[in-house]
Amino acid sequence: MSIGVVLFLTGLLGLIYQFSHQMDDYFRENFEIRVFLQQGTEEKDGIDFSMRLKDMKEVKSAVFVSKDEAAQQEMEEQGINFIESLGYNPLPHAIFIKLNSDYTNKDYVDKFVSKIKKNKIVESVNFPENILSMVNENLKTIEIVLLVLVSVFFLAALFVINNTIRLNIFARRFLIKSMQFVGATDGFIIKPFLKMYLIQGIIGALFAIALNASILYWINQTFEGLLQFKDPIPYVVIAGALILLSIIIILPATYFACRKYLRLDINKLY
Amino acid sequence: MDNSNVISIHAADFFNENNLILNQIDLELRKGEFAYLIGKTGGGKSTFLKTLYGELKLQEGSGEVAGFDLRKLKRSQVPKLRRKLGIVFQDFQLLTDRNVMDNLLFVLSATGWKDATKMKNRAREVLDLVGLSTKDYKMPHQLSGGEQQRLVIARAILNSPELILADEPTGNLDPDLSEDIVKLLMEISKEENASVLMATHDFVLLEKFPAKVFKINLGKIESLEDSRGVRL
Repeated sequence: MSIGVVLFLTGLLGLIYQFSHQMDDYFRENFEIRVFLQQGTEEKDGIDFSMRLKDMKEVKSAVFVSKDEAAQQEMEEQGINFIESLGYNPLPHAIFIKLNSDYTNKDYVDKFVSKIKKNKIVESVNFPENILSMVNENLKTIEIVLLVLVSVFFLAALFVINNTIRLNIFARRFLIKSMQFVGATDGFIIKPFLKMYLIQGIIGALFAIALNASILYWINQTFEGLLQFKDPIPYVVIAGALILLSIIIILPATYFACRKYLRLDINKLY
Repeated sequence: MDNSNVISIHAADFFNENNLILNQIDLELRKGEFAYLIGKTGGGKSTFLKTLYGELKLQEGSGEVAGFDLRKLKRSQVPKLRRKLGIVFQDFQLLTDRNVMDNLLFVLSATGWKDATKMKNRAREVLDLVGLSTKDYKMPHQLSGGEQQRLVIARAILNSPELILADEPTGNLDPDLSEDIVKLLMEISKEENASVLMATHDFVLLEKFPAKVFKINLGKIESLEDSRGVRL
């Protein structure tokens, strides 16, 4: 039971870490640089420029939005036909750029923007600077803190599971001695213990996985769309890691705890 | 060494954690022979028995138990030695987490028995021998002290041992039950042709059931042919 609880907490932190990582990626990949072109730029030149941008390795996507498309969108959103009232379309052509997440950091974005600005047809470049710094500083810090917490919980799991098993075997130390007195070999005595704790550990891990899964389910039901389940692999990895973790901790812990009492003089058992 | 002996000890020193307990011991016990081991508390009875069943090492002199050379005994051989011995303790040492039948079956499977039917049959045989045939489903804590000790004896004789080492087997029992246990051990010794070495300080038993005596005194072991009238 205690094995299941520590594994559950370790798994939960693993999930939170995974989310912060996902959120970070989400912010980075949805981070948009909007390039507005000079009034009077030919549509063809704008499309050419966007194609050249798209070929850069840092750029995930570069979408050209013509002034007509922009006006259309704007009018649909506002419900006002401003071209009619103004007599002309004041909006410029624009290119919306998304960068690959690896390049979404302040230094690179600044360089990238100044490079684009050098182009004559560019009027202005716009990007959400505050989101950029948030992504870079806060999420990184959160990720590191979570990683440290996951490690601490891993150690706690190690400690708790090891102690649980040692206490359990301590309680059976006379049993172990009795088995030795009737001629059982060390291996014969240890095997059932290994089997028992291994089964308990795997049940504990499955319990932890089930609990974490139901928490995920609950969050997803309550806050729709908050979590991105596009990629199932990280969840499978976390589940597998919990099972593996319990096995890795349990086998040596059981072995060494048993061995201790197998080698101890009976008078020292009391 | 003489093949008719189950225990042959010559010029042996017995240590417990580097303290010399028994000095220059010579002792022999023949096959099928019953003998008492007596001596004051703390005199070395337990050290002597522990060395015989491989819990302590024999460091000086020569010693052979049930064909095993105690000087050359490795840790991995200790289980093999113990399969030729039956060990009976004052404090029972039963597997408290399982019932009477399973206590016996554990010993059989630990000592290499595979056939479930044969195992059950052998377990029933020894339960019959010690008079516990109707209690095979009970847990150890549901048995009386005398019954628990009978079960320990049943367990000890499962593999038809050459030697039964009994360390104060009647220590926790009242006089009537003590006599029953000694009678039982003597019967088994005859029926199964097993030697018995029984440590005790119950002199009533020595008077009522006379046998050979090994008397531990001041670090030496003295061998006496008749237990009647023996005093410490």
